Amino acid sequence: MEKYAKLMISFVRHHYLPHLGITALLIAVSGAIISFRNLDAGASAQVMEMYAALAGILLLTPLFAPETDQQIWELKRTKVTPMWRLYLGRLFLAVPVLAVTMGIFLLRLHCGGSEFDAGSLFSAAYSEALFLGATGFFAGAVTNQPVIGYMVSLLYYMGNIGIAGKLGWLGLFPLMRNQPAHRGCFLLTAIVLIALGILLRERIPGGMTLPFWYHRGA
Amino acid sequence: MTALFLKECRQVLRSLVYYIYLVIFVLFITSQIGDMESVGSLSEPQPGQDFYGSGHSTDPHDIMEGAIESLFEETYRNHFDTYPFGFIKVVTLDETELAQMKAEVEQACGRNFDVLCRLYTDYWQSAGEASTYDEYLERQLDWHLPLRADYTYEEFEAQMGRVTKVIGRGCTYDGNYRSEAIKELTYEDAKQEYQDLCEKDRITRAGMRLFCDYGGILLAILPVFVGVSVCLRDRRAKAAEVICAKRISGAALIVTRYAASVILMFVPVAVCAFLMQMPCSYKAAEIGVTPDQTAFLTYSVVWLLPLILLATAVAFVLTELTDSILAILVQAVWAYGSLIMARTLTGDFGFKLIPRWNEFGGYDRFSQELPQLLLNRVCYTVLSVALVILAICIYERKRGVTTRGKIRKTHD
Repeated sequence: MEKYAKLMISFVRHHYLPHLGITALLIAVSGAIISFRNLDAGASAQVMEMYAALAGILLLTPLFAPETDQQIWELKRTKVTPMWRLYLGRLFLAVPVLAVTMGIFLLRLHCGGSEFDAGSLFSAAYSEALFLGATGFFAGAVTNQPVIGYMVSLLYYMGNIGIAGKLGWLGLFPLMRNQPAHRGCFLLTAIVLIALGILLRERIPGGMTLPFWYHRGA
Repeated sequence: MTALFLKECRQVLRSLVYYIYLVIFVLFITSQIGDMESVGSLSEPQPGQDFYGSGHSTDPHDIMEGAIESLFEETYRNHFDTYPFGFIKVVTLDETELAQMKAEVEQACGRNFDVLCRLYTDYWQSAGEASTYDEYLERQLDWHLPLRADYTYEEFEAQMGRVTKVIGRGCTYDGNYRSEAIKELTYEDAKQEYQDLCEKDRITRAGMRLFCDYGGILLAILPVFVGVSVCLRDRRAKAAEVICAKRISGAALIVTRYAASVILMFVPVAVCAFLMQMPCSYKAAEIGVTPDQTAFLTYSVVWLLPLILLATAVAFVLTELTDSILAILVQAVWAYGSLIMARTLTGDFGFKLIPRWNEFGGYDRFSQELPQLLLNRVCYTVLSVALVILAICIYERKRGVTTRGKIRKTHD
């Protein structure tokens, strides 16, 4: 356990701190951009689904960032600790931080006198945030480029602003659109994407499959 | 330099991020504009038509009516749009504040708020569902709140001040109510607009404004991904130290890399613009108008190129400074903020990052706002150059730290 604690502290200190900082900034400036006062259920859903859910992208997409450096990846491969445990450990860090972030937004809504079903809104927005983050994690993990991870998740988010209704169960902002929240679908897809991302990075026969464009310096 | 430029171009062309950029841009533009349906349906207005569209009015009575109608509808829904820091922020009032708003509407109309609500709901129930946007617009224009006969502009302005104090600064009533004055166009207005579209816009220019409106939305954010990817490439390939040891100056390296990225991102945009201009050219020829065939290039360079320059420059400077993907988040916030701070989808350019003109035509208003648009684009171009110079300074500083003891050429 001490070993994992040291690994997590090292990960936070060298790679994750800027992302935690930006998440804190997201919370800090939210008051200037959105209102938390006297909102009804639909407006509260908009705050959580359109704004707070962005924290998922910030917290989950960079979880494999240290291993984008091939030398670090090869060094870690020589260790006894399997890589998937490292990623899982980071996930166990990111998931509660994301929950705390969503909780802070809910608390602000509550203090602003807004009316909403806390349990329902939290679970719906949290599953969406996890899904968004998992999308970025998977895209970045498979291509070994965090830039692509952010690109895919941000563009998916932006695309949903216009066409969410046409994406069925994977359409974002369901509560805002007065649709049933697809918590189970988002959660399951997030778990599958994260598991697949870890698997593709670690368990392909012959070692990590770096995409061809990585070797050619893309 | 040429060899380096070509090498940098090859590197960008081998990047997966670049191809994702291309695909996303083309898909977005074709889905939003398609084959320019507004051009296909273009026809000269005829006398005796039911509806000629809508336009802005500068008549004081129209301004008062538009503002009070907006206040009524926002009070009815208890949903007030404000822009206190340039970003849209929706305000919901408590019971006391809402009662104050109702009292203001009652004072302007001289009727009880509940009576006005009944008139409003009765009107929309009897109007039924609109099957087209034009039909909805026509019904929106036909709906009028009856103002008091002795309601003066001075009283109106005093009311706007009181309303702003309650809702907060940046609301519609904080000096922005002139944009609420919409009027139905007459045959003469519509004919003049059609003539301007044919003689001054020559059809293609109006089409290109629409293209730039949509293209600008994505080009404010997409280039930053390519820029960050290009800048992080050296670190990923462990080539940074090798490059530092070369004779080439940091300025030459950054400038060629920047130029390669910008040119390769701009060329597909210009090609898309040319293709999107073609339906406009055909329509112009059909109705006997000489199209401006260079409009695609003029508008792409003036309107869209500064966006590519800026997003790429932000990517370069922040990536060189932090060696991270921070530029993506900064530019995403900036682009999103610019998008949601737009009070109108046509004009009001100011110094917005993403200028909007979501209208096919409107030459008269556009020509009035053109100087502001040009100033806007020049400022962002200058800012881009400044950021690139900053990126060069940061790169040279980093290089200077890592190359102490570098072997220098002697003149022995």
